[in-house]
Amino acid sequence: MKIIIVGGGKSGFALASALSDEGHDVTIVDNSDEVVSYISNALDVICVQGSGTDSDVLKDAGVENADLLIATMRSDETNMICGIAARRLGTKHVIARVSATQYLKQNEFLRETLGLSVVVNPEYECAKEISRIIKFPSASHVSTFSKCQLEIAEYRIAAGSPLIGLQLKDLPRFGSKVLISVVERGNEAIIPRGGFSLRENDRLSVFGSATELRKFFNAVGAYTRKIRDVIIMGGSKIAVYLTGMLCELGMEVTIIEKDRAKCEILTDYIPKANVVFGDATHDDVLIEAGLRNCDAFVAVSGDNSDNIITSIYAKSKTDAKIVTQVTRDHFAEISESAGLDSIVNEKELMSEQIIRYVRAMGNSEGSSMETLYLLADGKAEAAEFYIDKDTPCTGIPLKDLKLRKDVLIISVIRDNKSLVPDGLSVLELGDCAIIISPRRTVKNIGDILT
Amino acid sequence: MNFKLCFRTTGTVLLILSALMVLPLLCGLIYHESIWNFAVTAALCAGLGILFRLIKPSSNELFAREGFFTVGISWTIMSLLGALPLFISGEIPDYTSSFFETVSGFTTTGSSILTDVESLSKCGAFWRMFTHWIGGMGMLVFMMAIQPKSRENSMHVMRAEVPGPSVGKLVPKISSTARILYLIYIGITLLETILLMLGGMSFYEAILHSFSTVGTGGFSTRGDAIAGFHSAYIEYVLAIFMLVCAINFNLYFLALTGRFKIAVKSEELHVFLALVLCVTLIIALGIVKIYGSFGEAFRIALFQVAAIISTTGFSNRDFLAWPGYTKSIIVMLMFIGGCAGSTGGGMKLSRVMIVVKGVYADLKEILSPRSVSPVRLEGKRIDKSSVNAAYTYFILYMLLILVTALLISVDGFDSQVNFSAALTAMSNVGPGLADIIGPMGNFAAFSSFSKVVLAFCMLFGRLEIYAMIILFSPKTWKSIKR
Repeated sequence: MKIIIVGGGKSGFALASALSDEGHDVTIVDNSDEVVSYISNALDVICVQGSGTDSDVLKDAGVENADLLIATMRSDETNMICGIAARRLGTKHVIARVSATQYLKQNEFLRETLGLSVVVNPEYECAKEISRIIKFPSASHVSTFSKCQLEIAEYRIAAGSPLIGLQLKDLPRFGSKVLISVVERGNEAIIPRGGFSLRENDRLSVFGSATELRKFFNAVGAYTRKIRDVIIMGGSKIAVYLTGMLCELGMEVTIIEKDRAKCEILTDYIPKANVVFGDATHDDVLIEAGLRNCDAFVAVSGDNSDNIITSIYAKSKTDAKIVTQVTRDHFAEISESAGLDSIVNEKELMSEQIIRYVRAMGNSEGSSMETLYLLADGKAEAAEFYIDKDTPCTGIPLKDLKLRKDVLIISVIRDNKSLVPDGLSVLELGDCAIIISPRRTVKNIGDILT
Repeated sequence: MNFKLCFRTTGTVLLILSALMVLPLLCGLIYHESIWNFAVTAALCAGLGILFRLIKPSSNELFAREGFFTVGISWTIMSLLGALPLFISGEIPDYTSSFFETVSGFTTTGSSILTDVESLSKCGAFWRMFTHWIGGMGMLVFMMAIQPKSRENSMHVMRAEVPGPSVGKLVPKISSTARILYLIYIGITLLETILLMLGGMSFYEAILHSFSTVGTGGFSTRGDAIAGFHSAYIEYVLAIFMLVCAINFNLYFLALTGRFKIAVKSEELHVFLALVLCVTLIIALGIVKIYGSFGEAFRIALFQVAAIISTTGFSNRDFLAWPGYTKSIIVMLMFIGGCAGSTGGGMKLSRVMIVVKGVYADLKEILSPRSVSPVRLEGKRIDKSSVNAAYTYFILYMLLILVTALLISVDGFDSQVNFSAALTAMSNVGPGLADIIGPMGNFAAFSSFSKVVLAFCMLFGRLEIYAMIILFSPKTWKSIKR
C-alpha cells in the first residue's frame, strides 16, 4: 500500500519503520531539514520536506493516489486540517492523532464530519494499558485478545520463585491452564518447547484466560494484593484519562503536579482525585503524598529521566507496583535493567494500534492476519490468523505438519471458544489461530511451515 | 565498523558477478572459442561469494562508513577477479595490465593498454566491453534491484555508488528505485543497439558499442575505433546516446511517469545542454578548415564534445592535431564531466555549479558582509554544509590528480603525459592529451607500478573518492581487531 506519514517525530518514525518493514511504500512529510535527512538515511522510505498542511507539499508526497495518510504531528488541529486536505485531494483512508481531552468525547463526531477513518489518541490508549497493568499487578504488561477474552501477561521470575528450574512440561503442576509462550532471557527472546527449564530473571509471556492467569499467579506466589491507593506523578493527559478509569474502579488516586495553574485545571477535570501541588522528584513531596502506603506508583510526567529516576527511588521506598512511562526505546532497556519492569510507551502503543488497522486494511489484499500484539519488547509477536480456504495447512493434525521450530500455535478459536491445541488438533475452516513467532517473520499462516 | 555485514554484501556482489560471467561464456560458445578462462573465474567468484555469504553478521547496523566501505571493497575485489579471464587466456600477458584494463572497464574510463584490440577473442572483447555496462550503473545498485527485501539495501550503499552531490530516491522503496534505474538503463541500451544495427553494424558490434556508450566507457572493438566505421549516421547516434547517458537518469523517470514538465525544468539540464551547444560551435569553427565543410566539422566537434563531457572518451579523430584552444576546452570538459545521477564521470556538473555559485556568494559576502545570499540550485536553497561538501570534493579531486601525476612521474615521461593521464583516469574519460596516450595511443608504455596507481585513481574517480579513501585509512583497518 502507499502510505504517507505526516510528522517524522518519534511516533512517525516508529510507524514508518514498522510499515516499511512490512513492505509498504512509505512517504514521510516533515518540516525540518534535519529530520528529513536523518530519516532518509535510517529507513527505506522517501521523504518530502515541507509543511503537512500545505496542499502543494501533500501533492508532492502523492496524496492524490495514496491508500492511507497518517497525521502524527504535535498539534491536534494541524492533524485534522492535514487529514481533511488529504481526504479532499483523494487519499482513501486517513488516520489522525488527536489527543486533547476535549476531543475524546467527540470522537465519533470528528470521524463523521471530517471523513477520518480512525482517530487515535495515544494518551488514552496508554492510560488504558496502565489501568490493565494495575488491575493485574503481578504482570508487567497485559494485552487482551479482543475476540476471545484471552490475555497475555508479561511476568518476571523473581529470586526464590517456585518456577526456577521448572521444566515447561511440568507446568500443569500449578493447577492452572496457562501457557508460557515467550521467554525473554537477557536480550534474547526464546519461544520455548516442553523441555525448556526456567531460570531466575527470565521474563515470561504467560497466556491464558483472566481467571486461569489469576490462579497461576496465586500459585507461584506472585504479588496479588488488591490495589486501592495509586499515586500518579505528573498531571499529563495520560494522568487525566487514567484517573478517570481508576476512580471508576473505586481506587483512591493522588496526582502530584509541579505547576500550580495546571493543578487547578486538573481539579476541574477530575474532581474525585486528590491533587497535590509539588515536584515529585523531591522525596519529601512523595512521602507526604503517601508513597509508603500506596499500592501503585505511576510515573507519567512526560519527562523520561524524571520518570525513570523517580520510579527507581519509589521502588526503593515501597513494594508498590511501579509503572513508568518511557518514550525512548533505548531508555526502556536501561530502565528494565534497573528493575523497573512495567514500562509503557504511548508512541509504541499508538504505532501498534495503527499497524493493526493497516493489517486489517491489508487483509482484503491477501494477508489473513487479524490482529497483532508485540511481546517481549517487540522481539516476538502474537498474531491472530483467520483460517480460510486458501490456508495451506487445514485438515492435517498439527503433529504431521512440518512446523518451524521457532513458532508456537498457542490457541485455536472455534465458535468463540478457545482451545489449547495438541498434536492431534486440526485447523479447520473458519477457525482463528493465535501464533507466536519471532518479530516480523510470519506474515501469512503459510509462513509457519518449514 | 560492521565488517561482517560489509563482507557479506561483497559476497552477494561476487555471486552476481559470477552469474554475469555466463554472458561472455555463452558468447564464447556461440563463436566456438575457448571459454575455460571464464568458467574458472566464474567458479572462483561463486566460491568466494559463497564463502563471504557464510559470514553471519552480529548486527544489522549499517551507517555511512559501512556503506562507503562496502562499495570500496566490493569494487576492488570485483576488479581483481574481473581481471582474471583476459589474464588466464593469455590475451593480456601480465596481471597488472589486465587489472588496469578491467578497472578501466568497470570504472567506465576506457583507457586501454592493448596495442591491437582486434586480436582479442570475441568473448574476451565481449567481457572487456561488458564491464563498462556493469560499472556504468553500478554493481551494488544492481544487487539492490534484484533482491527486493534485504538488510543489505541501504541508502548509505546507494549513495556511495551513485555519483552526484545528493542522491535521492525516485520511489519509497530503495529496491524499486534501483529496479527503475536499471530498466531505464536497459531500455536505452536496447534502443541504441537497434539504432546502431540500422546503421549497418553487426548485432555483436552494435550491442558491444551500446554497452560502451551507455556506461559512458569508451572501449571499442576496432583499433581505429569509431572512425573505422566511416559512417556519419553511427557517429550521430553514438554522440546523441553519449549525451543521453550523461544526463541525470531521474529526469527520464520523471518524464516516463508523466511529469515531463518538471523534468525539462531541470537547471542542471539547461546548463548542460547550453554548455554542449556553445562548446560544440566554438570547436566546430576552429576545425572547419581541417575538415572542409561546416557540417562535417560540426558533427566531428559534437562527437568529440559528447565523448569528453560524458567522459566516454571514444576516439574518432585525433584532436591533438586541432588548434590549441580547442584542447584547453577539452581539458575543461574533462574536469566537469556529466550530470549528477548519470553514468558519466568527472566532477559532475551540478557539483561544479554549486562550487561556482558558492564562490560567487562568498565573494559577495566578503564585499558586503551584511548581505545574505544563499546558494540555490534547482530552485532550492542549498545549505552551507552541502556547499562545503562540494568544496571539499573539489579540493580532494585536485589533490588526487596531483598525487597521481607525481607517483606516475617515476616512469620518466614529461609532465603533459603525467598530468593528462592522471586527469583522464580521475575523470574516467579515457584518452590523454599527449601523443603516446592520446586518442590514437594507449597506456601500454607505463610501468606496472604506474598502471596500478592509475587503476586506483580511476576507482577513486568512479566511486567519488570517499569509498576508496576509507579503504586506505589505517583507522578502518585498526577497528577490525575489535
